[in-house]
Amino acid sequence: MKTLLILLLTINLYANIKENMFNLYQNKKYEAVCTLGFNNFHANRKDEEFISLYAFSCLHADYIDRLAIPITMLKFSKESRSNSAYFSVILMQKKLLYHALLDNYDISTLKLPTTDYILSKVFDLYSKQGKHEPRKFYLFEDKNDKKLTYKLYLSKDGNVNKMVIEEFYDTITLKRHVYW
Amino acid sequence: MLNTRELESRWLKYKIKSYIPHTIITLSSVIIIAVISVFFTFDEENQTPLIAVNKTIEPKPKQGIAIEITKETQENKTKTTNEALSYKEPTPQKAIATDKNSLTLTPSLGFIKNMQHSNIPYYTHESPKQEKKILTQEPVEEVQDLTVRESNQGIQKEAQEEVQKITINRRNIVDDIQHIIKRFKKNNNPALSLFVAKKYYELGDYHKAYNYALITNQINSEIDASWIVFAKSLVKLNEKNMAIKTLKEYIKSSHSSSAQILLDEIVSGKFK
Repeated sequence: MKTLLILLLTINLYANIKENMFNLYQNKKYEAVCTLGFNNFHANRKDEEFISLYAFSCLHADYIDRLAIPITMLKFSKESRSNSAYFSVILMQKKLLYHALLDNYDISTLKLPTTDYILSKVFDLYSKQGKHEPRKFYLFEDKNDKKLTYKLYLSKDGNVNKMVIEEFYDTITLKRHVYW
Repeated sequence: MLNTRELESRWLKYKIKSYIPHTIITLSSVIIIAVISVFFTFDEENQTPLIAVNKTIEPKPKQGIAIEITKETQENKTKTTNEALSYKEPTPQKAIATDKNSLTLTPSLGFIKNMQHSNIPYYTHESPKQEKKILTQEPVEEVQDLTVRESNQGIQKEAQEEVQKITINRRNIVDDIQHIIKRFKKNNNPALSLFVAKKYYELGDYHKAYNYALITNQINSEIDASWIVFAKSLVKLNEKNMAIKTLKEYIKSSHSSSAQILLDEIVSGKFK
């Protein structure tokens, strides 16, 4: 009886965490969902819905490195595998772009799949530049909307070089993404 | 006398010996044919692996280069990037030759729908709290209406309950707006005046929408939605230039992207 009660309580706790995460996700509080998911990951590691929710929240909060574990865990359903591939492309593009910016590594000859995520868009635009001398910053125009522009540059934060992507609509900053 | 039996046996042996080469030739030919046929069928079955083997042969030089690079990195770390460049170049060229169309991966968000169906309440935001507050005040006002009706018409208590039910069902947006205006007059909450402005805009009463948006802006000038309703109402009241001017001023101070989008739409004539 006691074990049953404990089991019910733990199930309820897990359900509450997932429920909280979902509500926060709906309210676009992605960073909170990402940290909540990160703290409760081990207990929910077999729940693919939980992992997907956690991964998408981290993606929206620009915590790309946290996608590494969901990439390996999402494999049991078609949807999970599709999302896993989606995340892995973004993670790879982030790493390659960071390497290219810091070490002037040539990614122009690479032909990778793309996604709708901002990092992929900037990656594609950067790789179209071809082999070139490193610049202080790059300004790219969106393919579909000419008023949308992306500024790509490196900024030093202590010992870490951070890759920054700023989204502009005309001259107005829409969002600032920081990756490292 | 000739021994016929011995002769016959010798003849039989001779005859058997004469057949031996024939049998050997036929047997060997059968075996050869069988072996050849088996060999060919085996090849057909394993055609794909053979090609795969040919394909896997190609990366061998890459591995060799990679090993060389790793050796060189141990010798001198600074040279690694240049060598990585020289090493990476040939492989993507092959990729381009094979894949002309770039793949676009999209996220699958089916799990969110599943989660919505699994007893999880949908979208609890701050705004529903306001609605709840409105609902808590509404019954008091309804009772007041009913008492008026009671005094005027003299309907029995049983009938009152039925009327109460009907009044709740038949309430329209105009009544809602009136209630919210009453509440707004009490507490001057800009969220309420913005709600009223939006509702009037939806109803097509652009004068009132303009007025309430203006009141909201006076209380709190940092609400995007209020400025947007204000500008939209101005356009609907044939004051396009005024709308453009106010939006430009607002964008200068707030850098609002939604206001910028609306401004573009008004200027281009998309929004009329």
